[in-house]
Amino acid sequence: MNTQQNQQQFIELSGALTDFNAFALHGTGQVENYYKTLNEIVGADTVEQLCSVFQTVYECACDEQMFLTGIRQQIMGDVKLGPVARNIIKLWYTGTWYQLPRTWREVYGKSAQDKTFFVSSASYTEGLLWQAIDANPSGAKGPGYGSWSEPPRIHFDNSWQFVKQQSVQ
Amino acid sequence: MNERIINTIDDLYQMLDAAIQLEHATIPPYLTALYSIHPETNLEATAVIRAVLVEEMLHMTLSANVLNALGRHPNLLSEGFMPSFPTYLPDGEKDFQVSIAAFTPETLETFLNIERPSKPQESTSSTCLNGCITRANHARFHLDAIKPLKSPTYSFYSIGDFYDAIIEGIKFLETQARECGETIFIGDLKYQVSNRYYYSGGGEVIEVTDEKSAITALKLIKEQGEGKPYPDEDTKNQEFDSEGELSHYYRFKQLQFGRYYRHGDTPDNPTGAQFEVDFRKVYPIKANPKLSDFTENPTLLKAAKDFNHHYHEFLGIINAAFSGHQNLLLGAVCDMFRLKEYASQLIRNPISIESNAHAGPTFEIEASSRDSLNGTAGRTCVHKERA
Repeated sequence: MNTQQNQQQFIELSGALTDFNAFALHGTGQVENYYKTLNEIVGADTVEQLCSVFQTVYECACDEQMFLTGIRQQIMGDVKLGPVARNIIKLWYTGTWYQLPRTWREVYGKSAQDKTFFVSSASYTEGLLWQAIDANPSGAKGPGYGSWSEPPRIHFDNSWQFVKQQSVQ
Repeated sequence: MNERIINTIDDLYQMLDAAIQLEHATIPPYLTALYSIHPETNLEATAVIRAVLVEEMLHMTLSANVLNALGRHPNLLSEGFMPSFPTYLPDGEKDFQVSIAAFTPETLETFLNIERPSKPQESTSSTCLNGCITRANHARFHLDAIKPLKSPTYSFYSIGDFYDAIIEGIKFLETQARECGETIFIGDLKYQVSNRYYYSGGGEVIEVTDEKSAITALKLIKEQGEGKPYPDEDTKNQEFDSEGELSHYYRFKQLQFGRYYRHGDTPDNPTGAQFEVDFRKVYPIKANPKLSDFTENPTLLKAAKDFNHHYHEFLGIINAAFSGHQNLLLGAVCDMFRLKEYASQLIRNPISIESNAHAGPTFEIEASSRDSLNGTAGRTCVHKERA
């Protein structure tokens, strides 16, 4: 599998985990940054394993309910993959990489880079949380004077959609 | 003897309408190139393009103030106000295409062409209108500002000549009116956009009430664009306008040199601080994208239609602001930030997984407004007038 395909899988996984579609994720301009950060800290093998389990769950799911159950049991509930998946969610929403739990680090390896940090100053302003609540990131992305007097325009045009996959036999 | 272009007040109205259209027409290309730059890279190029962009907005406002001072309101929603890109502009004897495109060396070259100082015309046919030449490719020009009063034959030599024609027309018509004890500046002051409503946008806005203030406003537009009118008289400091600010042409020139000008520099040799322009840190937008490019990708298509719809609405707000509802300009600042977000999202998205080309705002306003009438475009924003 080449880098582009891996990155596509990462986008699809990120979409399911954050409930923002590929358009919204690309729109932050952070896809490459986050993919690179993830690989550097948890290692390419773990990223590949996570994407592979996600792919299997997706292909085996007959409907969205079955898919969500699969994600809960096989990814979020997994001792190794769960903390990584939670970190991906936090990464997209806040632009911050949070240091993985101590127990995870002791078992699956400590990366010197695994500290809590903003991936870049752009990642802070591009956090999905701001889109989710229609607010501006404090101190960045000027909202315009008096914009706070307007009600937030929250909409779900760019939510991720479950699409029945053709299973590859 | 050369003929004067503006001879009646209706001629002047038409030319000012064309000026507003022309100033606006530079905004989509500048805006797209600006947002195509990767976040937090090319900081100097970003600052330069942004500064020029906001001055174009100021120029549009100044032209609107002149038209309002004459007792007429601009119409930003008229058919054909938004050009179809690529569109052509004159550059002396030649012409060149202006496109909606990413920030590339070619795009920078186009920006330099847009802002290039006018040179004195060497040979002008005696039957020609002032500041105009006959062009074989005249039909290529779609912007009214290029064709004096929709002439089928003549085109302006440069944008500077276009503004000179307006200034000449104002002087002529006002002198005529004065002889009868009248004035052409009959517009109500309440329609002027003042600094109370327009701020942080490329300089002080000038309220136009008479011939003197109208000419000051129009000269500011010309000087901010191309610098001093007669570069041959003073080769030193011709990069700077009468207020000591670098003109658009030389601001863009700095991006080619990767170096800032300082006072006292000659045009070919800036000696200020050096900086890097990295054209690789730019999203590769498909040049002059159209909605029809996104038919395979429904999410992109919807986002592009939504952008056009919001941009059309935004033009409506500016239009109302230029027609007596200046308060709307304060809220329009928020809309501009939103438009930036919508455009940036499009630009950061590849058109397809296989394609290297990225999407971008299409600025197909006519098409999008038809869609909105059919109810297929995005949600409608509520704009409140702020007290």
